This record gives sequence, C-alpha cells and structure tokens, in this order.
Amino acid sequence: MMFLWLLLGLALPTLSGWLLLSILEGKSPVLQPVERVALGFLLGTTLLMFLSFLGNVSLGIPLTLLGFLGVQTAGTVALTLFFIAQRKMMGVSAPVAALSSSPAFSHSIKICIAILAFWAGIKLMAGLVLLTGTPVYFDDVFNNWNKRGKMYYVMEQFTLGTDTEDAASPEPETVTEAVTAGGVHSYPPTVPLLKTWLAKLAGNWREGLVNTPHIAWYLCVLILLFYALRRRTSLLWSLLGTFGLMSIPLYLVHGTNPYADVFLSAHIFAAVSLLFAGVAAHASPERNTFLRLGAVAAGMLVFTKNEALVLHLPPLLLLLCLSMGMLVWKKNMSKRDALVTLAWYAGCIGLVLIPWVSFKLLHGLPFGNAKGLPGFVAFWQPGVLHAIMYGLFFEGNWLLFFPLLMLAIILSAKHLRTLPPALLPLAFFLIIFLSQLPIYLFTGLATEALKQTGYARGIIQILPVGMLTLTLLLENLLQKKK
Amino acid sequence: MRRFIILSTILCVFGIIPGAHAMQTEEWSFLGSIPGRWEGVSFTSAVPTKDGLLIKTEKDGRMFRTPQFTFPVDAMRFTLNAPETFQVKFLWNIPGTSPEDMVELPFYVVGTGKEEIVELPLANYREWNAATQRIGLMLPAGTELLLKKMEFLHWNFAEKILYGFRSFWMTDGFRPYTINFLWGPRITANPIANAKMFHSIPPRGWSAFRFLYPLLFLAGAGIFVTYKKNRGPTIVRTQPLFCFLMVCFGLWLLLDIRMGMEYVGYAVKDYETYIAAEPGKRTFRDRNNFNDFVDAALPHIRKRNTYLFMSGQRWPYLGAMRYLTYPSVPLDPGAETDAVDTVVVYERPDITVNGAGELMYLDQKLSTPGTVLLRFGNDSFVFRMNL
Repeated sequence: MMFLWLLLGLALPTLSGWLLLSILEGKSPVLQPVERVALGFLLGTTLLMFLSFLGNVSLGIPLTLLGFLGVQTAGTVALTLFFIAQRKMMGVSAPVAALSSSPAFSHSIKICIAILAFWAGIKLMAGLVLLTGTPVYFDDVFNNWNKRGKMYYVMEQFTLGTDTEDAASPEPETVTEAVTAGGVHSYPPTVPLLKTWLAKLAGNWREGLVNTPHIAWYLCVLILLFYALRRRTSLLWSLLGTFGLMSIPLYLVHGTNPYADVFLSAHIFAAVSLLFAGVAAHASPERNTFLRLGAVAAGMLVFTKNEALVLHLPPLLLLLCLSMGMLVWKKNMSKRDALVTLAWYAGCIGLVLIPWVSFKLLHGLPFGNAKGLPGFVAFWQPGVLHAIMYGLFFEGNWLLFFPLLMLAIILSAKHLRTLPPALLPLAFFLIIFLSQLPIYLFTGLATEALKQTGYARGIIQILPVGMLTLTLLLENLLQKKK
Repeated sequence: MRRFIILSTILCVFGIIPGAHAMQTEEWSFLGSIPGRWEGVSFTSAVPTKDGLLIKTEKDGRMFRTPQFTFPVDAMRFTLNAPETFQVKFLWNIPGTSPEDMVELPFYVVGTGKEEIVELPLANYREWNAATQRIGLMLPAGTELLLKKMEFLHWNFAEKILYGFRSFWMTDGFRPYTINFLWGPRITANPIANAKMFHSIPPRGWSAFRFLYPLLFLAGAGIFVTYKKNRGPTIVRTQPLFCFLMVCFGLWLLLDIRMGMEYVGYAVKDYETYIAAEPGKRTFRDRNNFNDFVDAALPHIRKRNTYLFMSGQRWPYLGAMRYLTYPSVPLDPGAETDAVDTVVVYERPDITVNGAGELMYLDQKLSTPGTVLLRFGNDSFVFRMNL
C-alpha cells in the first residue's frame, strides 16, 4: 500500500518533469527514455514543490491535498498543453541518438555482472527495510527534514516555526537543537514539502511512506550516472562506474536514510553532467539541447539546500563561462549560441533564485549551512588534517575511491591536453573538494572535521561527479595504454 | 613442489591451529589461597576463602604484585563475583619509570551476584607494556568483590594471523555516528580483542587499510618489475596498468563485501529486534524501548498542547519527542510549566509517585496529587495531575 501511495504521489511530479524535458529537447532529443523518466522525476519533483511553495506564500494556496493537487495539476496541464502545441508545430522530432555499441559480453562477464547485480540488489533491499521499517533515528531527521514536513502537514501552510513551538521550546542545549530553533528554516523546503504531499495523499503521517522518496533519489542518481557514462564509454565501463558508486558505503547509508545530501548530489550531478554532455557534444543542436537541460537543472539546484546556492552554483557557472569561452574560441560554437546558452542559465536560475532569495531576505533567513562559522577565526587548526586524511583513506566510508582518484589524476597528468571532456567534472570536483578544506583547516568549523560530523557530507554531495570523473579517467588511461 | 609448499603454508597458518585455545596461559587462582606475594593498600579486609579472595573496602584500595611472565601478555581475564556494579582499574607500571607511576585501565564489573568474567584486550592499548614488573588493581570505596581467578594470555604468530583475518570481518552496529562515518574493517590479533573491537570509540585495533595499501603497493611494484624486465605472464608484460587495476578492483570488491555485510547486518538486526518483534517488546538500536514507550504514551499526550517531559538524558529523547508527538510539544523541566497537567517520565528511577499520588524527585515533592495513566517498565510512566 505504501508503495502505491508513493507511485501515485510521484506520478504528477515525474510526468511534469518528463514533459518539461521533452519540451526543452524539442526537435533534437538527447536523453534516453529511462534517463528522461529519472531526470523528470528529479527535476519535476523539485519544480512542483517550488510551485507549491510559491502558491502558498504568495497566493495562499493551502498545503492540503486539494491545494497540492491543484498546483500540480495546473503545472502538469500547462506543460501538457505546451507539449502538444509544440509537437503540432514542429512535427515529429528526430530519434534519440543511439548509444555507442559495445562488444557482446563473454559468458564469464555475464555471470560476474549477474552476481554483482544480485549483491547490489540485496543491499538495496536492506536499505529499503531500514528506510521504511524503522522509526526516526538521526538528529537531522527529527529536528529538520521530517519535522518540517510534519509541521507543514499539521498546519497546512508553509511556516518558519510556530509561536507555540518557539515559546515552548527550551533553550537549545546542543548545536543540533539550536539548528531546530531557526537555522533549518532557511533551507529550501523541497524535501519536507514532498513528504507533506505524500502524507496528505495517504491521509496520515506515515514514517515509512514519507521516507521512501530518499531511495528514489538514490536510484535516480545511479540511473543518471549510468547514462552519463554510457554517452562517453562502453556498457561495461558504465556498469562498473555505476556499481562503484553503489558500493560506496557512506553514500549507500545516506541514500537509504532520510537525509538530503543524496537528493542534493542528484541535482548537482544532473547540472554538472548535462553541462559536461553539452560541452562534449559534437553537433550544435545536440549541444544546445544538453545546455538547455543543464540550465534547468542549475535553476532547480537553487531550491535544494543552502550550500547549493553558495558553494556549488558559483563553480558551476564559472565552468560554464569558461567552457563557452573555450568553445567559441575554438570555433566549435557560435557567439550567438553561447550567449543564448548563458541567457538560458541566467533565466532558469533567476526564475528560482529571485523569488527564493527575496523570501529569505524578507524573513531574515541566513544563506549559510545550518551551522555558521562560530566567531570567524582563521588560523591553523591542529589535528584536522590528520582527521580528514584518516576519514578519506583509513575508514570504511569510501572504499578505495580517493586513492584511485589520486592515482588516476597523477597518471592522467600527461594526457590532460587530450582529455578535455573529463576535465570539466574533474575541475568541478576538485574546486569543491579543495575549497572545503580551508574551511575546516583554518576556521572554527574544525570541530566538524575532528568529530567527523560534517566533512563527509560535503563529499557525499559531489561523489557522483567524482565517480563519473574517476571512471572516465581510468577508461581513458587504459585506452591510451592499448 | 611449488604447489606442495603453498599448500603446506596454508595448512600451517589456517588448518592446524587449535581454534579457540590460547597458545600460552598463566593462571593465578585465588581459590583457597593467594597466588604470589601481593601488597594490599587501604583494604578493609582481604580474606582468602575456598571460593576466592573476598575483598572489602571502606575507602579506595589497591593491591599490587610483581609478575614474572614468561611470554608477552596479549590479554587478561578475571573471574569474579560481585553484588553491585562498580568500576575497577587495572594498573601497571612501565619499566624505567617510578614504581608509583602506574598506568590505569578502568573497566566495569557488572555485579550480577553470579560468577562473572571480565576480559581485557591489553595488547590493544598502546600504553601496555608486556615487560612490566608491577601490576595491580584499584578498587573504589565500598566495594565487595570475590576475586576467583586472573589469567594472562598470549597467542602465537599463526594464531594472531588467523584472528587478524577474522577481525577483518567483524562488523559495527548501526550507531548515531553511522550517518557521518563508518569505521570500516579493523584488525586485532586475538579473540578477546576481536569480541571487544567496537565497544569503544574509536574502536581498538588497526585500520585494515594499513595492511591493504602496502599490499596494493607490493602488487604494483611486482607488476612494474615484471613489465620492466619483460618476464612473466604475457598479460602483465603487455598490460601492466590493466593488471594493477584488476588488483584494485579485487580489493574494492573485498571491501565492498565486508562493508555490505555490515550494512545488511544493520537491516537484519533491526528486522529481528524491531520490525518483526511484538509491539511492547521491541527495542531499537541504542534507544532500547523508547519508541514503544512513545507509541503507548501518545494517546495520553495527543490532546495536550504541551506536556512536561523528563528523561535520563536530554539527547536524543527531547528532540525525538518534539517530532514524534508533534503538534503536542514537550517541555523541558527548566521551562515555564504552570499550565501543564501531564508529565511524561522516561527511564527516570529517581522520579516516583508517592502514596498520596504526588510526583516525587527523590524526597522532593514535584506536583499536586494525580493519576498514573500509563506505566511502562519500572522507570517510565505518564502522570496526570488532578488540577
């Protein structure tokens, strides 16, 4: 029954996302059918929750079953009408470019793939049991993600905390409790709103049901990674890269718990991989389509978590500008197309950013992570580097991801000039990874690294991009050696 | 011949090792007599009986002895009997330092009133020095303890390798820190250390990566040398990077299986103890029966805007209550509670209801008379004042 509510609850958002993507693809579709559904679910959900938020705070549409249904139906109908009109005007679109053919697998490789798939399936089942069968356990779940969803569910409106709640709340004793007292209300409400919608649909607040979207986001990012790899590499390498991400233990833990970092990672991955696909595309229509899709993904990124706006979007835009400049300079793209692309990004980001940031400014909500820099200081924090290195290389969090990535980067150094496509995700990963280091090495947030409470989450958010990079680098290295 | 040597080595290391028995043991039995010369300080009494050494203290007491171990001690085991829980410290002196300077290793005696075994994985502590010339015990004031036996244990190299291999597969449970980091495989070299691996934070033992990286390096070096010398298997000579990546992939899989087993273990444990267990008898990780208590208490809280919540620990229970009982809001005892008529008490043996129906904190009256609406176990209940 729970999965029926989930399917019903995700149907309209996924359909909306699918329609939006199909409209944007227009005459030159670039996404594979399964990929379009996965990306449609990801972006459609965020889009409709954004519209529900806007509808509530600006038009007073309540967060009731009818209110949600009204907004979602209006959004879906509008997109459907646009889609039909577009199809009538442009006629039949070109078929999606076929993925490169791969040599047939030998019998032994087929057996290996089947065994690994079975093993991955067991882990996923275990994740589903943990996610849907157990009560809330972690602080951020009962203080933030599920708590806010339940508040919207009870109050049927967007709220920054009620008078009763604040007056009754004791003085916060810990940082986590302090977060509850106001900090988390500054986060975009996509995740809690989706939980509210599912609960409204089912008619009551069910722990298992409101947690299920998290595993859907996890599966979504695996699908997106597979197809992003498939566009550049063989089927075997794509499966290897996807299996690699699936086997990262801490990413699996996050994917099967009601935390929002995998949700954010899916949006980051969509934005980066679509930009990457656009930059690497050979034909102009194909490139422009990818970049349009990338622009929408970048826009939706704003409405995920605070760090997306301040930490992930700036490097993404920097890489976009550099890529456009490079493509124009190499005469692979016209100036007009580059400007149109930049306009798409500006428009899509602006459409989400302006209302959301205005709302934040109007209510004095902070832009940083839940935990600010406690009394900004900038001096070397002893022990942090050791704690970070230990976490990256000597714990079970990431298996051999970081040693292999380092090795791949070192071995690829002399081939960098022939590696332009992989450079983009690599640059994004390294910018984010390296820019986080000084925050922990030199500021009061050092305790986050020392106690290992926050540092790993920053890596979770960019891990799919990292896995894309690692797979491409390794594949490229082996190709070069052949 | 080569096959024979490999097979023999494997058999020597894994096959013919007596699984559970320590290679060397030194046992000090206190049954009927006191083994060796012990120096007691501040004990009220220490009487040898046929059941063991009966120790009583009125103030902190200590006992010392000079050991003469004939082997490097890896772990020790106490057999004892105590009626109450208390903390004991095992002491040792590091050779070359003043005899009064003792390293302290605290441990708890559960005190069930029955025979109890306490094991200490000494080799897991960097400070442990097997060449120590003075060891001892420190007991707190008010202790009553029947010490029956002390055993000192040592395992040989082959056994340590075997237990090291086993320790790789020992897994942690689902903890509050699991969302932030996973310790991953650790290596310890004896069964006592294996069993206690994840009982402390950080866990004892070495990270398995300390062994895997050198292994990877050796594999890489071997492949490189083979490639450079142009001798050995063709695939290594022609595709060295591919071979090295296959080694990496193999290790990745090994780690994936180890970590995957840990992860599946979380689900199995939760299924057994919570999902499939009967309501009322469910326990959930370190929260024990808290969720069952909340389920039982909810009907009494639901219609109240606010209620007073008292638990042994504020974290994580207050935050969880704020979510689980929302929109009813729990108040901390420190908050303004005049308008509150319902008190929810979780695991507080010091909060009781007296004969007059008043809520009491030890001897201090906390409320007007009322009714216990729900009693859950010995120390948890829901109380409503007759306003």
